[in-house]
Amino acid sequence: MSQMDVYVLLQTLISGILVGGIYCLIGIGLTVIFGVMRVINASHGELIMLAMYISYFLHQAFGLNPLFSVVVTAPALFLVGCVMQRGFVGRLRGSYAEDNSLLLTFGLGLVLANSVLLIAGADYRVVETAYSRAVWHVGGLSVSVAYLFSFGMALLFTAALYFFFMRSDLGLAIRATTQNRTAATLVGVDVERVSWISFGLGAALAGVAGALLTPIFYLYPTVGGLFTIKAFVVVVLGGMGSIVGAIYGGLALGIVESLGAVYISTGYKDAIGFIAFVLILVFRPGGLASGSRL
Amino acid sequence: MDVTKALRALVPAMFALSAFAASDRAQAQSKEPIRFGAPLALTGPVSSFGAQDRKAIEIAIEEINKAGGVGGRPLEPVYVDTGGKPDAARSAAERFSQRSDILFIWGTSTSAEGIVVAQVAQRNKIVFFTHVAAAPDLTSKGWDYVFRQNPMTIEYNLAFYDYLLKAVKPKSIFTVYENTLFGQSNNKAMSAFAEKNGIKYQSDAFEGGSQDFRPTLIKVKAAEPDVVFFSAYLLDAILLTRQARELAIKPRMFASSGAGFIFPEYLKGVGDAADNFFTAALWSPDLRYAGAKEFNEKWAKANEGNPAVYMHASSYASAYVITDVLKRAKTLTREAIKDSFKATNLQTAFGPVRFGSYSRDGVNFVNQNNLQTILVQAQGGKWVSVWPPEIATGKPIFPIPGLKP
Amino acid sequence: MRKAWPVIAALAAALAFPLLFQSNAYLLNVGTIVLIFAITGSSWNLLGGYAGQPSFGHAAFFGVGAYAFAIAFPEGGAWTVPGLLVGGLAAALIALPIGLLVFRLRGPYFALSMLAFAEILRLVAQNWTSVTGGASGFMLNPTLSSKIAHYYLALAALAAILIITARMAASRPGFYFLAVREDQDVAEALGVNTVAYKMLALLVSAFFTGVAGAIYANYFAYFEPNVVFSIVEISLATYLIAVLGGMGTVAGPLVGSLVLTSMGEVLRVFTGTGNVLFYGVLIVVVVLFMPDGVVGMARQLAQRRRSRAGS
Repeated sequence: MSQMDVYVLLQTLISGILVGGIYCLIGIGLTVIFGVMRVINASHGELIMLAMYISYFLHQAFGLNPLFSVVVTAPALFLVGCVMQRGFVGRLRGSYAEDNSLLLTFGLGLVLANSVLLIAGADYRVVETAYSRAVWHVGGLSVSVAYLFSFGMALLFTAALYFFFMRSDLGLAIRATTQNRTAATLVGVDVERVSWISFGLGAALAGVAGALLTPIFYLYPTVGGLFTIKAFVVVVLGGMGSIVGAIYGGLALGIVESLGAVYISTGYKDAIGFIAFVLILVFRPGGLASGSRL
Repeated sequence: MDVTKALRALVPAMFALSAFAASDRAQAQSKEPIRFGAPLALTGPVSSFGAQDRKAIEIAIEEINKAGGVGGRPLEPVYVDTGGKPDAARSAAERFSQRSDILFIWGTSTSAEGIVVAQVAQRNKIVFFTHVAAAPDLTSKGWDYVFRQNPMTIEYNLAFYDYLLKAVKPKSIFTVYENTLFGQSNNKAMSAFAEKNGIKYQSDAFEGGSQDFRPTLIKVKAAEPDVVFFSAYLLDAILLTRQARELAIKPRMFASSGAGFIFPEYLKGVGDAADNFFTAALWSPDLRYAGAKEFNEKWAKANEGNPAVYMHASSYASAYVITDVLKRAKTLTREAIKDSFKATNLQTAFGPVRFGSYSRDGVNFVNQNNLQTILVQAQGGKWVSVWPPEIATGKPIFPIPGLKP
Repeated sequence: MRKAWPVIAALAAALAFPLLFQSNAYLLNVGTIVLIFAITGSSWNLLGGYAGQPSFGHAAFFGVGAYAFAIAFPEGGAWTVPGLLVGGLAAALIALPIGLLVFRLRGPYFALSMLAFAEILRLVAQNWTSVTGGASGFMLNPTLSSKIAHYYLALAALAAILIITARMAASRPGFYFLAVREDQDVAEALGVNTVAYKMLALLVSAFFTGVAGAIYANYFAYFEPNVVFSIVEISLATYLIAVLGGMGTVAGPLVGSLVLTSMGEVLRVFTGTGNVLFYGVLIVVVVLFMPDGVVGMARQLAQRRRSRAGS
């Protein structure tokens, strides 16, 4: 193997891991909502998009570094999530609730994306910050600082969530509801409250993702669609409802896509994710992390 | 006797009255606007194109109407939003064809819509005049009701090829393109050029909106080409540039094909990462065309100081072409307008406009304006026209400092 | 017999429509589009409404039908009818392995896998340039120029799927579909071959969606991968049409298509904007407040009036 071949392999792997980190970040929020509510939130991408726009406008108006805008986007999206759950998703009843939740959240996503389109216009927007282009050169290999940072944050939030779910009362209540809704009610858990808090939490995580992605991706009202699809694949790969699974899923997707794009074909890169999505769903529905406690 | 006298007085009076009435109707009719259909993408993913297009032509129409329009009658485009979707464009075109007050159709925002509208227009014998749709099919089917003012995709890079052969003489080219009509067309054209001139050629396609181009760029770096050629729309263009710099790719020259790169937001978005990039373009404000600079100033004033881009100039100029066509038309009917279009020979701020027939790469085109394309380079944060020297006003910087010599 | 008169009236109206509006190309265009989407909606309905397997990826079959027709008969025109059948068969052929693979999935997971397949097929169409023309799309040279002919073709296809749906619903497959829809495990336990019946529903559904795609290709004479495999414009629209009209009813999708298409046109003409926003709002309203769709609601109203009259 020539030196160039080694370079290509290593750089591809690094690139895959870094993109995987982004995918983890995108997937965490979705898996929380799914794990608790068994609701597939097809508007997850639009929640991220909303956070990105908030981040963008804060940067435009106050020069606020998008990373710090997390302080605003997370609570703002938490609220949006609560409203979504209490006003819409929570109203679904009956045996078709699960099927309809997909359609309903898809519709909500369309409303969000197109409202932003009407209000803010279709113009693409991009934020340029000092670290948008910052690169570490390590022995001829390039590592994007911004991507690495996002990956770090994804890990941090996963760890934080882990402690939250394992140690706190609310976390315990949420886990109880996930395992058995009826039993949880019987032991005194306010299931209604858990529902909207979880949805809010998932949305807040989308808010964090949005703020972190603003310096590295460009935004436009319909960018959410891309994120939602990737988030779905990550969540399925990692195991629906599993927080740790989101990490595995994200990394797996990122690396496989990267290798596939470089060594097989870039045009079909996205198809790889979809194929993996279907195969895991059919053959290993627990996802790659089945067996993990969380 | 009295009756006859009375009648005799009445007759001239009636003439006078009818003349008065006729002139009154003529007066009313002279204010009746001349309408044409304008299907544009005003919402949806490509709505910024539609919106800017509209803005540009409105500048021209305001000037034209203030100067009296056509024979006293103002021009009035009838805008319909297509959302960038071909079937909406088709509906719009069908409806325009039905209306007797619509004299021709102008537009569109994407080539896909353009093809659909052209088919409808040709079938219904109404002129479709496009100033921006670039797919060759529009003028290669012998549709005599379809007229195109702008160059086609296969012509976009001609000035670039000329410069490559005369000044750069590359041994290898790597093209990175978006998997769309425009991108695939660019790739095909570049590939043919490379083959004809014995240049090693590689290419890789990406899905628009991918946000991460590193896998492709890693392949580019590994190939170590002389020329790296990008074909992408605005935001992908920005990320491609950033990521190419991040991976420290160093060819002899970075070049791209108009579209995303020529917009002012691109240079603003990448900062100095695009210094000395070349871009194949259709128009530049600093070209030696009468009215180009003036239009650019008008546009900048209305758009936060941003310079105008080929699309805006073509839109603006198309209104003047329309005015010229309508003034020369024997009558204001669809047939006469078609004949008038055919006879057009006009200098505009976008360049000379003449709809003729010629062949390129073995294909015959009709009603196509054979406009010279150009090459621009990012110098000091602005796109400067550098080739061909006959109409460009700047000088190319090559070899490029910091890249392979 | 009482049930028949609205059907006959509707059929008569549909037959007479193009003759009444011969000169109005615009209305004919809208009418044909309504029919095309009614076909896809009705096909979807068989699988999603009757058999209870809602798919979020019917664009897969629509697109395959369109491309199969275009590739086999780029001249359209005289080969139209066999071409449509080719489109339908190609879609059904694709559906076979897909169904076998994903039928063990339930509800939203099934829906999403179908979406994944539609996307995979879209990427294939986009990249397999030599066969499909890639992103430049496919341009046909149709010789069937009469708009009215296209309209009647679509009407014939719609009549076919409606008749098939009605007959299936009233006979054994219909009962088994119902069993699978209501509780698949119980049905399986009772000895119903759920896989076979789901497959039946899927194949018929895919076939007619493929036919609709072929009609679309023949009619528009130009299409691209993003258009015929579109998530929002085809897959979602189909799902929405069936839900809006009334899932599990014969007339539902036709009503749904009429309502959705005409509302879309009206909106486009009068506001010129926000078309897709309206889709979203409509979805939310329908799912939350009208889950049985227009036809479902109409039936409930009729029921209530009848019971009140009776007592």
